[in-house]
Amino acid sequence: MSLNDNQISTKTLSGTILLIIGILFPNIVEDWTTYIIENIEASILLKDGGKLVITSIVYMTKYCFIFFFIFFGAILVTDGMLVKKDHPYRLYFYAVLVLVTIAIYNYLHLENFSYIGHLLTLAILLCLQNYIPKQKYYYVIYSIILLFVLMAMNWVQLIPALSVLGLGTDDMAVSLKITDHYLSNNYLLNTLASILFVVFLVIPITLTFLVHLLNKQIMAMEKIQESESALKAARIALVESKVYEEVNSLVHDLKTPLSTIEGLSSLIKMRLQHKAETSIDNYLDRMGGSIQKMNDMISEILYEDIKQPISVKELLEYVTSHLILAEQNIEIDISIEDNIPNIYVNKIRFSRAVSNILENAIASLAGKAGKITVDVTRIEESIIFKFLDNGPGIEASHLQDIWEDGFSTRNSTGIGLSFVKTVVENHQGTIQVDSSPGSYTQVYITLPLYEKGEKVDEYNYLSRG
Amino acid sequence: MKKFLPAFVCFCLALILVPISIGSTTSKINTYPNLPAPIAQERILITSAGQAVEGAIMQSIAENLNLEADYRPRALDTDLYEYKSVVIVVGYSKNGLAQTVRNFQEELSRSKHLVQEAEANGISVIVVDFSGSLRNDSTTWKLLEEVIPHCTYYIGFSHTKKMDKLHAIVKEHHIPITLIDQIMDIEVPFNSAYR
Repeated sequence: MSLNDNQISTKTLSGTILLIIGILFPNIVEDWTTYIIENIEASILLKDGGKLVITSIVYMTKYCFIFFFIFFGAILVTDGMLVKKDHPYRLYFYAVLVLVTIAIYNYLHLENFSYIGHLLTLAILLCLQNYIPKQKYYYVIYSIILLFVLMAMNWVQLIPALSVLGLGTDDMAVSLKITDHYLSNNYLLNTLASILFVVFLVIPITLTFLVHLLNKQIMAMEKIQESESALKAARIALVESKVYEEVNSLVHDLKTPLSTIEGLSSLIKMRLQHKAETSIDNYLDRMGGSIQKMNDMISEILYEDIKQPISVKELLEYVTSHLILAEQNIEIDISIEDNIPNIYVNKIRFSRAVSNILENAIASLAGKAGKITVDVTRIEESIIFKFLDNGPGIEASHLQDIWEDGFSTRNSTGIGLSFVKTVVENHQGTIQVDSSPGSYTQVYITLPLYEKGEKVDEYNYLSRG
Repeated sequence: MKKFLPAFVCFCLALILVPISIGSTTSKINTYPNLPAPIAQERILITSAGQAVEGAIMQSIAENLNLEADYRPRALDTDLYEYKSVVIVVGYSKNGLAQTVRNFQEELSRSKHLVQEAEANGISVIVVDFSGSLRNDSTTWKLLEEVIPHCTYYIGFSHTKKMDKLHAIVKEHHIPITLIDQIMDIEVPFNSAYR
């Protein structure tokens, strides 16, 4: 069950519990009923209007509780069942649920409550609900407004002048009104209940209006903030695109002097062909390799979105051919599962990512002898690259930080693994690191299987010299 | 405007129910402003049929009139021996009845036996209905139908919804009737029943 489903069932359950409490509330507070009856009789016999007012307040409180549970429970059940707060039939469902619950209440308690009062309460609530923002504190605001509306409508039940319209037909209200008729010829309750009705009705209307205005202001401010953020982002993007264009142009222009160096290097090599200058020949070979690598890097920047199918073997040969192991006694053992399908990658970027992992492994050995194992296998619809070295490993506390830009334990730039992660994720893959300090480090790269028919770049830009 | 439709529907339903609640009556009844001669004697037993609080009002009015009366809302027919007249204040109150150990059927039976016993012993029975249109439910009418045929005098409110029905009952049993507009108006006709 999802979190959302849990919230829905919690709402429905708590709403149902509140409805049941509302229906059974008169049984829970039987003492209140006795208090009201006894005080009405006492106010008659003592001709005490003050006692009648206090009794009226107790009456209002009792029925506020009852109908609060019913109305609030109903909104929770409605939202639990209809989920969407802007469901077209939400308010109808709510109104029907409230009226059905009140019908059950009337049937069980035989208090003869008129439906006119409840329909008017619903009309006011449904009207105000349109202005209550359906946000974080919706239920808190709704409950406060509901409480005041119920107070207002419970005082309406006690206005004797409105009895003729069918309001206040329940047993307690009738008893209070008849008593008031005897004590003050209805002057007391007509005045007091009317004033309190108006006061308690004005409060929720004002509150709703203020909440609505406040919400509008907040929304306007949020919109302004969003616009400002968008504008800022657009400015940054514009600056970035200009920088990017300039970098791209600069990188493109680098190709020309690089071709010159490459040409001149070849020329020197040709001129030295007949001389026994093996050391210079060796330097020129290494220079040629570096020029080739620079060329590839330029291509990578210029054509970073271009992907192509490539065999795993070809990729790893390409990576290892560029590795400089100079005088280190490191054994690299590559194992590729038979019949492994081609992978669909940007050859240069992915090679650099793999190269970064291997260079990290080599650097971790710090000039000592060691072994690096590269194992490529296919598991279901993925190809798994496993790089294992027997270096000093990574501290457990560092495992979470290694992906962060700038994190390094070797005074390097610290962008290596961050770059690797970005490249792998750009290929819809995942990367994980597992390490035991003093024993080993293992890096797993999982790439989705290349499916035939995927876009393939016809021309291998990377082969350009 | 569509979002206000549910509120509008509830408001319209409330308006539709108002005329039903108001009700109307066309019947004309010949009534007494007060009785020409006394029909009852003190000491008075004031009791309730339905356990509404109006019984206490009757007790207060009797005190105002210096009539010797006891208010015993749950009195039985066996309690009549010490009284010369009975005043039954009719009005069904669910909460009032809940304060007693009786249910409605038992209350109906108690009221019936009380008036039958009074009638059998020649004790005057005055039925008072203070609730008028406020307690016009079927249970109150069951009580009225049970006690009015055995009463000597009926005092009620002029604004009641089922006036035709009331008219028919009092006419059938030849019971003098006085209708009042305000509760305090009862003092004159009630006093005339004793003095």
